[in-house]
Amino acid sequence: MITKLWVSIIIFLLVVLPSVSMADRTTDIAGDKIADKKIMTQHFPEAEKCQHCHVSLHEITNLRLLTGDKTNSIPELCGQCHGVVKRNWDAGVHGKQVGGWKNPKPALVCIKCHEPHHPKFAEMKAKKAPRRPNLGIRKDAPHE
Amino acid sequence: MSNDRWTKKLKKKMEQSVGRRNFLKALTGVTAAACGTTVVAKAVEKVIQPENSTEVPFSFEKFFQKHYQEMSPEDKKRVFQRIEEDTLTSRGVKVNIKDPLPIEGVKFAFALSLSKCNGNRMCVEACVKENNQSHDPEIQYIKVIEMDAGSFNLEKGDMYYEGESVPKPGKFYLPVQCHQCDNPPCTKVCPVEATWKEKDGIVVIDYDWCIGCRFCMAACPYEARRFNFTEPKLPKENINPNQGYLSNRIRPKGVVEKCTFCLHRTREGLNPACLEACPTGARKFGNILDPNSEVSQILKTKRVYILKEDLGTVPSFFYYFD
Repeated sequence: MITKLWVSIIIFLLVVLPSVSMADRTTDIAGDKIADKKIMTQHFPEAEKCQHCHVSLHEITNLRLLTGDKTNSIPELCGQCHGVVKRNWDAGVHGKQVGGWKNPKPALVCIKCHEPHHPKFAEMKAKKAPRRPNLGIRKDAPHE
Repeated sequence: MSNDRWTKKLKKKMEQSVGRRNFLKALTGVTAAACGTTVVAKAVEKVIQPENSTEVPFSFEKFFQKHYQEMSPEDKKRVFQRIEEDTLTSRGVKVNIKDPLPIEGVKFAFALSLSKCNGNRMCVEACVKENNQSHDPEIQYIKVIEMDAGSFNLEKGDMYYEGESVPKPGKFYLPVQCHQCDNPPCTKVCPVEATWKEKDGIVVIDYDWCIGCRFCMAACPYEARRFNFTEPKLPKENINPNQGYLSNRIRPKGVVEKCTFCLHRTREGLNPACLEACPTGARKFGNILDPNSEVSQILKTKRVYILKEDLGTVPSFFYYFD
């Protein structure tokens, strides 16, 4: 009995709770099931509804500005809030340089580097540290 | 008695190719034998002649080679060919030595965002690969120094940090490499003028002219120069065959080397290897004389920091904040 209880609690935790927190994810305006990939938005608190930026989930490349107008330009959409970054990006100062310094290619758009649903850069593993010179110096020796 | 043995050995050596090392070894042997201290000679021999040496044998052509700046195009062609052949015999790798010249009206500058750099050391790895740096002993042009946020004490910085997940909270990262100073202290101290500043702002070294006195290393306030204490050890498959005479050709033992902003790439319009490897977009490279280049834009619009500005070295390497 006790084990059954535990199992049901675990199932509740694993299945029911996440689906509650992912509200509005699986239904679009027409009520169809559309999002196969479950996307957790961690962008800004109000960005829970997909329709905040997407016109509809059937055509996710059509974007909706905060004014309600449609747009296809990703920088325009992101630039509504990230104005300074957009200005830098327009000037070619923000973002990775591609194509060489002499004939630079057009800058990469925002979503090439930032995942829009959780835009904070993920922490990564650093490459291995250089070896300490083998000079008989004790590792972490106190500097006197 | 022991003299006979050494004479025989010397003769045998002479029949083989006479490398400078072999010659020295034989000389040491003869001297030692003359003194009657064969044991010492044997010990010396073991120390100075490691097995599987990749050292390029002595040749008169190399010995009497001109200074790079005095070479005519024909001289250069001959020298590059010789280096290619030497690399093929000593390392077994077919390489292509070239010598792109400075572009008129271009002065290179680097800008690095300290706000974006997260210390993942991908630049270091790419640099080692591109520039044929020795794997053992380890030579790396870029030092990524980890420091506490809100402080700027290079002495307390740690370049040996292990990063399971970077950036660590409360830390920031300062990658340091050659700053290609406009007033370089390193070139002034060179007694043989083996290092100089090119027209496009890059400080280069003629590895065949360097005598390995390491004065320049002592003079550099950024600790940007590295010394080849041994013949550089790098696996055959890791050798980058696309080499520049002044930049990433495989260095001989006993010379100083340093970052050259990948001049074999950048003088052909490409970006340096470290920039291409950086996943964060922290590195910017370009022509500072072009007012529309990214670097010029950054210098105009950002808060720019120059490392050790008070020393008056006038670097071409700038740090900035977003």
